[in-house]
Amino acid sequence: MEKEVLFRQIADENKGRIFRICRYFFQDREDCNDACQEALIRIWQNLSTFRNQSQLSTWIYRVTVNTCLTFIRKDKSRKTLFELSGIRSPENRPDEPIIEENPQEEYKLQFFRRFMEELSPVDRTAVSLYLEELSTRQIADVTGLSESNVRVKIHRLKEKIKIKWKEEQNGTGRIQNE
Amino acid sequence: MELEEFKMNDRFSAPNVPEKNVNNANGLGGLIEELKAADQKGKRLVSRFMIIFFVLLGVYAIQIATKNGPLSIGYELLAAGFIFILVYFFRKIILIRRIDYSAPVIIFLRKAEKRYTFITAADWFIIIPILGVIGTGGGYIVYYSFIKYFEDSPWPLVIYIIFFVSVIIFGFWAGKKDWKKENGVILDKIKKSIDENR
Repeated sequence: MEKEVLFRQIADENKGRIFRICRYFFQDREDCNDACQEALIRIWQNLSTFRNQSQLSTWIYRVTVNTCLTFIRKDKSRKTLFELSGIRSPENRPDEPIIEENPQEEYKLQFFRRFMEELSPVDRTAVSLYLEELSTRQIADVTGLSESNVRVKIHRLKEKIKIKWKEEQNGTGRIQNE
Repeated sequence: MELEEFKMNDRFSAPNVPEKNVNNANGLGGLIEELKAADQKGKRLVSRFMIIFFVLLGVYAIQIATKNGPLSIGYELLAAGFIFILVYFFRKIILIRRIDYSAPVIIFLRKAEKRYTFITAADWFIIIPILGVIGTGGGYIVYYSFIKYFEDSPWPLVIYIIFFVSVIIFGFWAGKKDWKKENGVILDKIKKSIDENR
């Protein structure tokens, strides 16, 4: 019973966090929903490994990221908890600005998604956690990299996105001013 | 373009979950019920496996106890070999089920690679002696069962060795194919992740 209470609490308080991480890994809405569901299942199965040695958020990030890294979608027809619960992916939100109304932001977002897709899984993990505003120490805890390694990685990734963005602008000329 | 521009971007953030849906039968509550049922099913499967395993072990032990001579040695070795192989596969399946998803990413990937590899170098150190025990047991049985028909001819033993080796090769090939079908995609994904971060 205690396991159920703890799980319910974790799931309720961290759904947003889990969803965002999955979103960084999967562009496809159904893949993302399935990965979220899978992450919740892994959290249930691994609850006994949480011993307050690390922060609960770090533990959740680890389980979610590891699930995303090894996630293979098996059943395309299965409805997920996120669909059953009425949670909609960001693309389908009714309050979402219409793409045509904000083409520059949409263009940037598409560029960012392509940028993320090109990254190695560990780099993508580092970016996702950085954008989640985790400290260098927390990112190191989640990934198993050293803090200095994380700092170097993030710095390189920041440079990389700048270079890629410049290349993108030179290549297409769609957005002239940053 | 700065990476910071995408920090907590609302296009990536989770939408609000309607409170009424959180605990409904189809939502989190439903998932918890499913997970609890899966836990129970897993426990039942392990208990059934253990019961069948010990019943078979008991039956075989009684059978062996009633036999004497070289044939009995053959049966004993064969039984021991099969018990070891069962324990080995059971352990391997359990290990895959118990992958620690809460480990740091780098450690998780390295451990997962080992667990999803069909047969690791360390596995061979377990499998080869087990196959040796089974092969020797089978050899004893074949040799002492056919010795009266072939006198001292080595042919029954030669044919047995060819048969045994062929079965192992076929078993390895079929097992690897099946394992690859089940775990190949995930293993490739893990290897790629590790390679990219070397």
